[in-house]
Amino acid sequence: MNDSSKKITGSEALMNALVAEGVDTIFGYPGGAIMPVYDKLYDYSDRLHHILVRHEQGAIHAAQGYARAQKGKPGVVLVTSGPGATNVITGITDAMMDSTPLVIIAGQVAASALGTDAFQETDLLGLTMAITKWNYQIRRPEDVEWAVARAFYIASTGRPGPVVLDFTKNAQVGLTESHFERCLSIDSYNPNPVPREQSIEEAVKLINAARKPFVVYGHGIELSGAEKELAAFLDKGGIPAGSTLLGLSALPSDNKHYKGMLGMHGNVAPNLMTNACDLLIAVGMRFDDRVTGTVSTYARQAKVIHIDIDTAEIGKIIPVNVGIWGDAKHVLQELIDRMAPASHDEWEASFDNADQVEYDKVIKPETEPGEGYLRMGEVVAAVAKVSGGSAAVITDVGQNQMMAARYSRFNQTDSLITSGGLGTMGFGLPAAVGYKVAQPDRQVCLFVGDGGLQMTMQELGTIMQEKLGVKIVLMNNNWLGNVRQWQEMFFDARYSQTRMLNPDYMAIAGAYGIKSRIVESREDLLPAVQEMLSDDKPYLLEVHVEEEELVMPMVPPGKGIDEIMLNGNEWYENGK
Amino acid sequence: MNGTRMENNETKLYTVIIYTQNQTGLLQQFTNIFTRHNLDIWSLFASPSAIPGCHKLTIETRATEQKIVLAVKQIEKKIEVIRTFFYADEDLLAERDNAGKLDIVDQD
Ligand SMILES: Cc1ncc(C[n+]2csc(CCOP(=O)(O)OP(=O)(O)O)c2C)c(N)n1
Repeated sequence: MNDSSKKITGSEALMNALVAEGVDTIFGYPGGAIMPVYDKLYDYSDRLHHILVRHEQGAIHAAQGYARAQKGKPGVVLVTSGPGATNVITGITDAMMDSTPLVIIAGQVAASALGTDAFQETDLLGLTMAITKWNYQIRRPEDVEWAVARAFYIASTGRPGPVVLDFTKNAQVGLTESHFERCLSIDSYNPNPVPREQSIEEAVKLINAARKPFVVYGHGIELSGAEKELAAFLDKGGIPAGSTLLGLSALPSDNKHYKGMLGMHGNVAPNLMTNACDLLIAVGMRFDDRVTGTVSTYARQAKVIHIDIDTAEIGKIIPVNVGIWGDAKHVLQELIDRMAPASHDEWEASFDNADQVEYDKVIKPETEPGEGYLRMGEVVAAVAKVSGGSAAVITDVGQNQMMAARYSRFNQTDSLITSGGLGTMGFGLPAAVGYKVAQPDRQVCLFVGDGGLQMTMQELGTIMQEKLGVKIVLMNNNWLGNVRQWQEMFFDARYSQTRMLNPDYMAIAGAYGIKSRIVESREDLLPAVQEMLSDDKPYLLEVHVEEEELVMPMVPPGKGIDEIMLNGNEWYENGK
Repeated sequence: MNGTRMENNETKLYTVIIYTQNQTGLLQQFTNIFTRHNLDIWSLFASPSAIPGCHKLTIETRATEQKIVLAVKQIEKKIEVIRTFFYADEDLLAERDNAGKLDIVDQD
């Protein structure tokens, strides 16, 4: 804290406030309208490690990876006005969709020039209103500390999300006294709703009466730190569970109640269980359409309990019998304390046959094909095998993402970082950068396609400069694979603009001083993965995979969650 | 069981009253929410409220019940929003009519 008699600039007030909030890392890129802040940062380089990315989109995705590796500690992004600010728009939207706490500080022209179309002026408040949890323009130096404290509080509490501070140049250079105080509450904002007693009681009644209960959980488990409570809840109630994409590492993959991933490319059994259970208990998830398939046939037979910290999610997509507005950790503990111990062994095992069918028809051919071209699934499985399921898995978007999600194994929480709600290609590489910065001792493995890598490939420069041991597994199929799959299946194989001519990735890696290797044959896969994971240096492993692969199983668009394709022309039917 | 999943398509004139702490730009945030739900704003009235530092916005719109509930929940999520209320004129009047407190039919 500063001596209040001494005046400091708004830029210094920002630095002090960041340090007081526990920030030690900033992802950013300088420019004219944020130069006074960068100048002050020079004096704080012993306390604030600034990571200079190669594009602002890289900064924000890195901050997302960083935040998600740290259980709720906001990622901080510093950019200039105008193009610097507009370059972070995609990442802000992504963070909003996936509830990632971020504080984005953008330079802005002086308050006196606002609205004049001054050089690099953009209406950042207007642009980010719909994609932030909160945004605020700092027009006076004396507001800096208040705004920063409020920003961190809002970003990291309740349902986390991105906050934008639009920092005018006059406020950066003007003088103010310093009295930093953390924000501990805001009158009009309730981030810690107390669940209604009556709702808890009703939920307990439904749980105790259920014969075929099923839990669907999502990212909210990790955000709330409710991993242990979830496992205990499933144990006590003898309840099977399925995870959304973003919830995947919240339970260890070998938890006996864990039935697999839900949704379009999820596992057969949990999707079938959704439409066969008599009680659906949704925790920290929001019934995304990729999870539900057609809503009109989703879990119609079941009573529904929905637990979420965001009341706007309850009843938004699926009508509920009991909605519980509260933090997953707290609510689950309340339920555990009150529910009767139970087991539903027969119900839990009733879809083992579906597991077997999926294994025989999808998983085995994907992970142990034995012949033909290498397949994405066997690449992911090889990494899972060599790392023992302990690597943090970062994915880009597309087939690589679905394969990484399906075939990775997790034994630690917060270990699958992916762009779920927005599905942002180019997310992976910078997110891996951020994750590695946050968890330098963790093995961090990115799965990415040739399309997605080229969207933010410039961040190889950041990896080079920061000497980050990010392991990049490029699954190269020479297509925009996911779109190609849809074209094959739903657009009469008319491959409009999805074939991709690729550069020489070995040369690119070489240019950044990053070790690399191409794998084209099955015999070479495991040794190459072993080599990649043998140290903590950056590595690009390019695997040439089957070009025209289909991610399966698949609930095609417009179908119910229990209408599942096992391959291009075969549907799952009654245990076959 | 699951209640109805079919949207009840009947639209009504709703009045939404929002109490907020004053903050520049909130009005735009609310109109964004209405636009996203494809709701036309029929009237909009902003005023100070009886409580110091607390502003009151009254917005009228025609909507289905499902849509107005979604929109109001989104509005309530905004950090500076203190409370939001909404009602359909016809429901309110019908209620009062049933309670026999107001004769809205023939006044003359
Ligand atoms: C920024 C962005 N643009 C477009 C898309 C649409 N899209 C989804 S997956 C995909 C193809 C991805 O191809 P690639 O990165 O090579 O991965 P693959 O599916 O082949 O594994 C595209 C174009 C997107 N999700 N994000």
